[in-house]
Amino acid sequence: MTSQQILRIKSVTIKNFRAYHGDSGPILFSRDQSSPVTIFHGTNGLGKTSLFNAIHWGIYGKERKSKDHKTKSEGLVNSYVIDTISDGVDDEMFVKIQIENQNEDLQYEIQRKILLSKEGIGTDLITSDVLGGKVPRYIVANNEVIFSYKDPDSDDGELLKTSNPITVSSLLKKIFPRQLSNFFLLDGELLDDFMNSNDAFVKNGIEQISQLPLLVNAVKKIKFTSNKVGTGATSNRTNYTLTQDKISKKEIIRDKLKKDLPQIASETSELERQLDDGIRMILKYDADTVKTNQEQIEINKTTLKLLEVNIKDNKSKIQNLVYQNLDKMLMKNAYESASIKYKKYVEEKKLPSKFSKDILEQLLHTHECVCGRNLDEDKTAIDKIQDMLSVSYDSTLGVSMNKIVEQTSDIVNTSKDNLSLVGEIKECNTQISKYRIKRIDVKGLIESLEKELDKIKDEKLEDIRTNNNKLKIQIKDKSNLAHEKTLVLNSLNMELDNLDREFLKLKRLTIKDGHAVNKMKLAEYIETTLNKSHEQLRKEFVEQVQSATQELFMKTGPQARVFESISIDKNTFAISALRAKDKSKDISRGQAHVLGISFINAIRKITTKNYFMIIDSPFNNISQQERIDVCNEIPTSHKNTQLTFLVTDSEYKANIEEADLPSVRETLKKHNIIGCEYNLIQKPLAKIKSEEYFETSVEDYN
Amino acid sequence: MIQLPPGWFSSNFYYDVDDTEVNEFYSKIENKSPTVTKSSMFFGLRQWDIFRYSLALGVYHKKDLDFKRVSANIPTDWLHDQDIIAMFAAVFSSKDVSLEILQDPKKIQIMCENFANYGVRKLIEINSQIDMGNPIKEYESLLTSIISQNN
Repeated sequence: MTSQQILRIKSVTIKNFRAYHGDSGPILFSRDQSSPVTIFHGTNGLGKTSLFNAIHWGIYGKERKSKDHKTKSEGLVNSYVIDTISDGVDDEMFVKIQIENQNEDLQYEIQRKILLSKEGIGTDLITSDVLGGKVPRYIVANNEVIFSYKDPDSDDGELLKTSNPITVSSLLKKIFPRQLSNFFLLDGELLDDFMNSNDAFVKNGIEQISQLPLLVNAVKKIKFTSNKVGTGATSNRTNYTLTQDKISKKEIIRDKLKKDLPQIASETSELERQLDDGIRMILKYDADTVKTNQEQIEINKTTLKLLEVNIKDNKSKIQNLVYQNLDKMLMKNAYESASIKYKKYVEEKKLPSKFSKDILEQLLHTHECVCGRNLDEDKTAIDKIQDMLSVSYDSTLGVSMNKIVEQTSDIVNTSKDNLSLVGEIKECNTQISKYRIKRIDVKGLIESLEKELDKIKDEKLEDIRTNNNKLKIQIKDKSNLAHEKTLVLNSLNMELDNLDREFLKLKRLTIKDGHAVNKMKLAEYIETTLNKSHEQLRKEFVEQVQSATQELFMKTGPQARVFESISIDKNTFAISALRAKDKSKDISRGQAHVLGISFINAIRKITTKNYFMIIDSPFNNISQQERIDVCNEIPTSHKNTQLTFLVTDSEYKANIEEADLPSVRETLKKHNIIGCEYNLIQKPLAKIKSEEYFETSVEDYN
Repeated sequence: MIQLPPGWFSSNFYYDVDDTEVNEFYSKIENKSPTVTKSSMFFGLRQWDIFRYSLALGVYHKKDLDFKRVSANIPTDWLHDQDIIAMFAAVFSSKDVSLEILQDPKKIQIMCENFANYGVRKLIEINSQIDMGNPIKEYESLLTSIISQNN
């Protein structure tokens, strides 16, 4: 082990702490290396444990835990002070501890104080955390601590001071770790705790004092860092692979989409072409077309009617020609014959004239000629008239005959031109044929137009419309599909861009991870090495402690010869003594007591911290021989250690005559190791009503 | 207009009412008489037009046919010039007829009725051969045939 840091208590000053009333003044502790032992002795209940607790409270701000864990109703402050505190007169309780090094240089001064005052009149008892017990309600208590310490960078002996409770607590924790309290503030009644494998306080203390966890903590930190690096590396590698897979899958989808889109576009174009055809069909057969068609039909029907009228007209013309001429042609010869006769009658002047029968008869009756000549005188004339009367006719008939003759002549003359009649009839027939042919054409045209119209009105057109609507829906669907696919494609492209970036990043990280893996391997190697070192150090520490404990115990332990060895659990540091025989038999209380002291001494011996050691009841429950053995061993086992024993008078001064054994004091005196010796004496302090108050005073033994 | 002396012809001319075909031909029975048959050349014409054509056919064939005159049903009030001219031509075309026949209008009537009585049968015959699509075809053929014969 390296050079030890030695700390000694120079003095302890107590005021109004429990049994101690008033200011004790500095109680000096022995700092002589040759006589390092300071003794406080007294009868039971006089304040040994209070003194022990005062020092503990001074350092840690709380009393040491009691074996029986009883809650004391009395507080930290002397009860007389509490009961007699007056209005407007403040009081206080404090413990001041001065600590120096082996060169008697003052290193630390701890002054922990409770300031007391009286406020109000409430006399009911309340529990005060500050005072650590029940006190009247009117008591007001406030903590105060002042810590003075040597400036490590200065040699002028001046101490730096701080009164900030947090700073003080932090500084004291570093100098006097709580876990180490067992090794310098030792309760003899609790020595057998060292054999309890479940006592974490002991284990933590040993680990703190030995600094063994340093390597384990280093391993933990390396492992944590390595895991962090490793986790990241694994994560990056996994993400790298996953991203690569993701990219591949998305690229497959994208390629499929890229193939799909032109196909959809082609299908859409085909559908649009079909729709265009359909629309053209619809447009072709739209209302205007129908109207035009109907108009054409009407025009052609009119033409047809006209043709039919023409045919009819020609037929009528032929009919008229036939009707007007056939009878005349049939009687052509008769007309001609009659006409010849008529001409002859005309030439012969036989035709009836206006001088008709009536006139002739009138002439005969009047006998007067038109010229006024008297016919009675002309018999010849009368005879002639009478001849004429035999062939004369009614004048009406005469007029008609002239007309008949005339018109018959006309008929005969007209009938001579009968060839032109034939030509006329032929022309009419030609016209009729022409009109008939034209009529067939027009009828065909009308039929064709009507068929076309029927077609327009046909359900086929409705089918086209239905089909067009279907095509529109299909085109819309295709368009939507293309739109959706385009969106997905765009989204995929974006995702792929992001993934590509992520992939590149992960690629870089994965390369870095290669280095991380190397770091992990290095960390693993360091972990293994440190773990081995730790195991080795722990083993060596345990072996050293075990060896030192065994050496001390074998020398000082009562009937130690029944034990063949001492064993320390390397994990819990629980100590046990192994019997040579009767292995199941328990270790005695005295043996356990010495074993605990031996264990503490062994640990202190091989660690760097050589602090003062204050033991309350060091000889509790052990035999006088064992006490003497312990005392005999002190000069060698506690070399350079300031020892303070708080002992009862019976343990300290008793002389066991039957066994012819010296007392503890005689033994220590024999070795000349007692530097300071104090007697704790109880004195009456006051009597208030029926209540008597006592105080403990620390008096020099001599 | 030719005006014959009143009462010169009897008030009605005769046709052979005993012959059913002739009787129906002159009557106003649809599909029997051409004057009330739409497809006939004589549709809407007078009985006198049938009589004149019958007369012409009789003259053309130079044949007459006497018949029992039961009742006279063709009123002379409806006579037209062309009917009178035709009847006079038919009568005066005969060699043995002279102007004196004018003194005997009854004879003229009988001669014409007899020619028409023959001719009406020819007319019925022609009419029965009528093509429904061309009702004057037979008449037209007859006319062109006569004209071609004459030339």
